[in-house]
Amino acid sequence: MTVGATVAGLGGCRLLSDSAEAETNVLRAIRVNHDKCTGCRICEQVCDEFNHKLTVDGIEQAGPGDPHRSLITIHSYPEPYYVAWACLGCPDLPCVRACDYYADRLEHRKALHVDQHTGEIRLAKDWCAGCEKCIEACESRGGNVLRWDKLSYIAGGCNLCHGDPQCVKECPVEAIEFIEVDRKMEIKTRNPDAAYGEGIRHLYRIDSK
Amino acid sequence: MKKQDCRGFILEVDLGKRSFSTRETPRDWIEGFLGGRGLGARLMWETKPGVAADDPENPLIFCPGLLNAYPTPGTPRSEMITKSPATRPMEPLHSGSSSITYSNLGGFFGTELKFAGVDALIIKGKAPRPTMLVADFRKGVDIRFEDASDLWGLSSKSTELALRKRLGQNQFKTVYIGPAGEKLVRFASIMHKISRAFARGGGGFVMGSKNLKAIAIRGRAIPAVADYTAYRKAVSRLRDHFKSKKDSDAYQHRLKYASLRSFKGLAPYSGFAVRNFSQGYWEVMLDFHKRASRHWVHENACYACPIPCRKTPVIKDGPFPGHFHDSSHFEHAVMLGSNCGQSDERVIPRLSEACNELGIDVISTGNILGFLMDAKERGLLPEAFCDGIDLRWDNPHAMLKAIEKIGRREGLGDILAQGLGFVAKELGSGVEKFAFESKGLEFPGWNPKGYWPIAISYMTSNRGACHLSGDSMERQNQQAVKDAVGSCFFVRYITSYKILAELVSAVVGSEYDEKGIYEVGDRIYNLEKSFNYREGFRRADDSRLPEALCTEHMKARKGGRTILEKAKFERMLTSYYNKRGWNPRTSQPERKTIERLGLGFVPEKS
Repeated sequence: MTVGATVAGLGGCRLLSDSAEAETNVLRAIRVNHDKCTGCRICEQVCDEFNHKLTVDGIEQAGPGDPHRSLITIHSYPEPYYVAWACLGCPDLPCVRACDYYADRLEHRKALHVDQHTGEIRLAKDWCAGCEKCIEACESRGGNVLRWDKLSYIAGGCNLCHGDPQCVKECPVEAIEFIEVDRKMEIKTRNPDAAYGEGIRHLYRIDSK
Repeated sequence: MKKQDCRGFILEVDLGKRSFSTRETPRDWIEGFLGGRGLGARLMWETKPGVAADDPENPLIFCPGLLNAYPTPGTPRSEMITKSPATRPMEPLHSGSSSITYSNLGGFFGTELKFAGVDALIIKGKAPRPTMLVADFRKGVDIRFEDASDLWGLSSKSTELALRKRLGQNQFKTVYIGPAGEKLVRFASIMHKISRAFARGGGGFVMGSKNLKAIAIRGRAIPAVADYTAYRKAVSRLRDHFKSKKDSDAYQHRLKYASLRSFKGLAPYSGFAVRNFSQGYWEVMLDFHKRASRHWVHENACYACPIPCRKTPVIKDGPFPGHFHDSSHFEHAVMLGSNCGQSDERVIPRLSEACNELGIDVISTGNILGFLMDAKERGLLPEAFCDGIDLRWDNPHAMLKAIEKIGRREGLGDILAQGLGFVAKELGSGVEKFAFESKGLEFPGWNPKGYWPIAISYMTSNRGACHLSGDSMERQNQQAVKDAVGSCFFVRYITSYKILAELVSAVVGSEYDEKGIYEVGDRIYNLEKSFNYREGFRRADDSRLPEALCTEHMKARKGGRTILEKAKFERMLTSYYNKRGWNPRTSQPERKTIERLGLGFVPEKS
């Protein structure tokens, strides 16, 4: 099946080149099957546990499992249908454009920028002023997957857990897959609301309001 | 690293004065009662005796379970605690006497309260006009009292949609009442996400009496834990434990059929309600779970739970085709189904949807309708009483009409909305003995004639007839502590209470072993009982079971006829009191029991 094709109930595809494979045309991404998602938010918890590790008692330990800092977000709706959403890497990068602070003016590198090698959206934390404009930009697209953590100054989208996505491993209903996609594939930017509308149309045969 | 504190604060809101205050949760309350039902009982004790359920002074308390917000599977349930509008002692000590009531809810509301740092939300006073409470904790404490006149009268679904429009997508977690709560139906429930509910006990009545339509909460972050290393270890162990149970029957049955398989479980005892508890077994219900599961198209879970037990059906044929929010609960199927002579799995989702839309408790509704149908069959129901509704067994259209009338309190519904005890008294003429309620709360779907241990649960439960309360002292203590930490009844054979005790120790920062944690349950149960005793509940209230249980024979599945022996149950009650350390004559907890549990603030005389 072509990824990113607007098949009802499929979507939420995030692209990232594995730095080792940067030369090839193969990218890795996660794909969420919304029809299967039960809305339990376990993906959000394991995401925070992996990506915001804490050093306590001299040992590096998993983070507390706070969904507010997760890089994948479950959108819940009135009808029983949940849409798990991670950073799509919108081609026009609304979050990066919203950033007002430069880390490197000569290279036009902003505090929030796209890493040239890995394609990740990254934050140069020394330069971040905490204005949260990037987060607002992401929310305005309906994505709500960008996080700015006041404690650790981490902003950015999904980084696929450096090649080992925890959400894929821990999802109890196997709704999230780790897949390979073609680099040249066109990214469709839908928003979660549209995915919800599509989902309930084909699942319950009703229109969303 | 410095030890952190898991405590949040108690938020007290006064709707009349439109004011709020916060105070730190006392350390010994968290240690002694943990949260949820325990903390709620402790807070209820602070109110003065004899406050009526609809008195503005009566607090409506929401307590998240201790473990609600942590990524621990199977612990999403939060508790609502208030004064019951349904129960009444035989000899009330005050004009407003009634028991404590509590009810729990899965989903995401308790979790959000914990994210907000709220250990208990207390709502007092009465708003002069329809109001909604919006509490946003993202940046400090921002409490708003908003006008809700435009939401008044809306059904659950319309309210949910209107709230989303008003508060923005996604982020606020809300609870609200349907039209039944506004109209003060005594078994009205408080709804969450359209089909989840604080269903039993009449929370919706209390919320409606305060003119409070909805509460919206938005939190900020996960609460701290005392011992982080131990917490992380216990979380991983609990997750691994769930995974290791994945192939067990208990896990697979729950995954495939949710709670519906209970029909099969209770059948050997003839233990479920059929036709107003006159039978305990009905052949056609044994494959109900299989028939129902054919219609399911989607599954949902509560926060952090790997077992999606809420199933969404699309019904293609039958009298009520369409898509519905929920259809996977044993109690729905037994009370609206077999108890009303109904076995069609395609009808029950529509009936429970009607109850959810209006915001009434399915168990009480099914019980009352079954009672009316029974009375009609016996020729004890005057035609004038029926209000033009043909209340025969197995008549879903009539049931739907009656449910609508109850929710809106029109005609016949105005009487039914007062609860089963009132209806039976109104009808009189020997029909009272078929009214299956205890202390004023209607029986749920486990039939004590067949499965007799549940009778102990119905008799001694602190909120009136309750199938979850537990049928022995040990189970009751266990259940009380589960309700305090937010652990779900549904995963009782899957989760590990040893690991939960470790988790609680790590979060609170004081040691509990498995025994220590049951002592918390003992404390909670005794405090609730002391509350009820203060209101006038005595042994006679506990031992009062519907007469028909002891006089009307039932044919059991295995052959033979079963009946409850009154004298036997009196003996069992006495030994239960002795075991509990309660006075067997009055049912008052003895002084030494109270002292042992550290409840010294409970006075000797009430």
